[in-house]
Amino acid sequence: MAAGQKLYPRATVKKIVKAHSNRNVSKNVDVLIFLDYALFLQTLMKEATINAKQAGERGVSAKSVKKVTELSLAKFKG
Amino acid sequence: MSTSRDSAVVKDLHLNHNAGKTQSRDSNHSKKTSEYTTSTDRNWHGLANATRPMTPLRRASSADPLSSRGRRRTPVAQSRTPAGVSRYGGGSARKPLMVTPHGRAAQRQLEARRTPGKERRRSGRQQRETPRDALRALSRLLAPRSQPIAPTPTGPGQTPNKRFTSDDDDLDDEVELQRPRLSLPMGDADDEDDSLLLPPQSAGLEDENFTVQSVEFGRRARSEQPLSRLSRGSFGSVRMSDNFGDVSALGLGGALDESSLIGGPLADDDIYEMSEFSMGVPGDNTQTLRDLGLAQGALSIGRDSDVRPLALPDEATDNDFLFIVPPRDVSEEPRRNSSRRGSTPLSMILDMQSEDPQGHVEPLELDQENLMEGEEGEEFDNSEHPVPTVLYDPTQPLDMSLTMSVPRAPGLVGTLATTRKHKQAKVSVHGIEYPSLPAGVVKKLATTFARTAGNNKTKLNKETLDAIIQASDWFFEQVSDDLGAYAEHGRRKTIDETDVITLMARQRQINASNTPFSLAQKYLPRELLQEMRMVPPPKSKNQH
Repeated sequence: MAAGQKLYPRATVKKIVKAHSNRNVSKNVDVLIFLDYALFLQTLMKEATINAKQAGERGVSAKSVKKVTELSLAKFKG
Repeated sequence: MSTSRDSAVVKDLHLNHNAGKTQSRDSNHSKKTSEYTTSTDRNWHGLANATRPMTPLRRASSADPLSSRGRRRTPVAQSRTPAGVSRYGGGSARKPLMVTPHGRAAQRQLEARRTPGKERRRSGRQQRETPRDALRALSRLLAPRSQPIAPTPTGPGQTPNKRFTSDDDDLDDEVELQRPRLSLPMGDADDEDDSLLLPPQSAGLEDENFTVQSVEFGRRARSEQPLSRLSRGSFGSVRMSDNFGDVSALGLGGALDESSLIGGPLADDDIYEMSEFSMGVPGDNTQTLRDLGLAQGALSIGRDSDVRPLALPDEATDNDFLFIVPPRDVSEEPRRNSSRRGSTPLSMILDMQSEDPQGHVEPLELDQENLMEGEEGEEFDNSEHPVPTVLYDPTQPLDMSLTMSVPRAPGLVGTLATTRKHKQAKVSVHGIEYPSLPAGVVKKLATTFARTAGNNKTKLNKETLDAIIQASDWFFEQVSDDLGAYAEHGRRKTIDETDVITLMARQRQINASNTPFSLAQKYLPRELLQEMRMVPPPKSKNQH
């Protein structure tokens, strides 16, 4: 699915997590976090697509994304 | 059994008759009773139709089966009693049996065995002889006569009222004593509500009401509602300067609408409050109380208050505000910073300030509810409001409230929003700057997932992408928070794989069928997969 993807900026993910948690991030955890993020993004886009279709939009609009953001975030609450 | 009785009595008799109380009598007068039942039924119906709208309904329903039962039964009794007589009386062989008590008992048994219907009836009679049935019969007796009483539920207005009033008149002396007891919860509550409410208000105002302020959290709640869906505290870390471009540039139809909606009432409030302050009159209602609390800056959540106390001196209002400002700076600010947002280094603020094209300090503390308002309001603060000048003061709390600011025009906001779109490092709760994921990566991922979600020709426009990035930021913040909590729980200083695995398990992303490794195979590029596999074998991770 994500075959042709280039590597994501690992350092960035690490930095983000580090900044938010105020903790060190062990090696390679960022991969897992990125995996989680990918799952989240998938959920988000799926929901947004559903929402957009229900709203009769052609593409996925920012509005639909906004609408499902909270729901998706709630799903990914640890 | 006299026909002269009224229908109700006859009914009662009919009941008794149904109960099979007097079998012999029944046998003797069965014909008569049947006639009675029919006639009484007729009378009954006539009565019911004529007199009562309510009771008749009940009667009619119950009466029909009764009458039918009676009719059905009387012939049976009629036919049976003669038969029984003929059987027992005519049969000479059984006479000796009847003589002895044992014979009678046997006969009774035989009778009972042969006529189950009778037994049934007996059981029925027993049932009807319960006190309840007696009461029922009585009620049936009384019901026709007690018509005026029937409306008792609705009636209190008519006859009972008279009674009560008369009682009141009789007991005038006592009533005065009783009244408080009876109506005390009601009347006194009404009276005391005002009295109870008023003293705290006045006292609170006089004492720079801390209690009232602590209680009054309304402002936050009100403005929080529309935007609550946008984040879980994430807005705190998202500086306005960052968000300003993002959120408003997203042209969130909803968000902008909400902001305008918020702006309207708040602006009104501002005006109202200003007039109130200039007059120096403490308001009676809670609105003004809350506003005062905000203005005094003692409200813990009142970021609005930062501006207000500063503005008030300009308007030459009460000294109270000046007095109260310091306590908040001392007590509230540190707490807030430590607990909620974390203090941001001043240098950073100054950096942001310098970066800001408008040249004024960005509020570092933004609540979710303030975000939208702030975006709009800050522009105007520069131009119209005298307050922002104070914001440069480093000693002042860095958050600023934009609800305070002058009413703004949505159109201006839009244009300004688009103009000032610069990338800025966001600062987390812990005061650490962090970047957001590059838009390219997010876009690629999002597009991929959107395609898999069924939208084949997905083109994510800028706004959508911005929204997704915003969501991503929030997601990372949430996840990082959770991970940090897990690590802390494990008394670790570092977040390691177990934390993430725990997190994903709690997110229900990982289960028996979905191992992190399988997920990684699905979603991650091969290089990352190898990374994952190489360092900690995912199998072992899964076993944790």
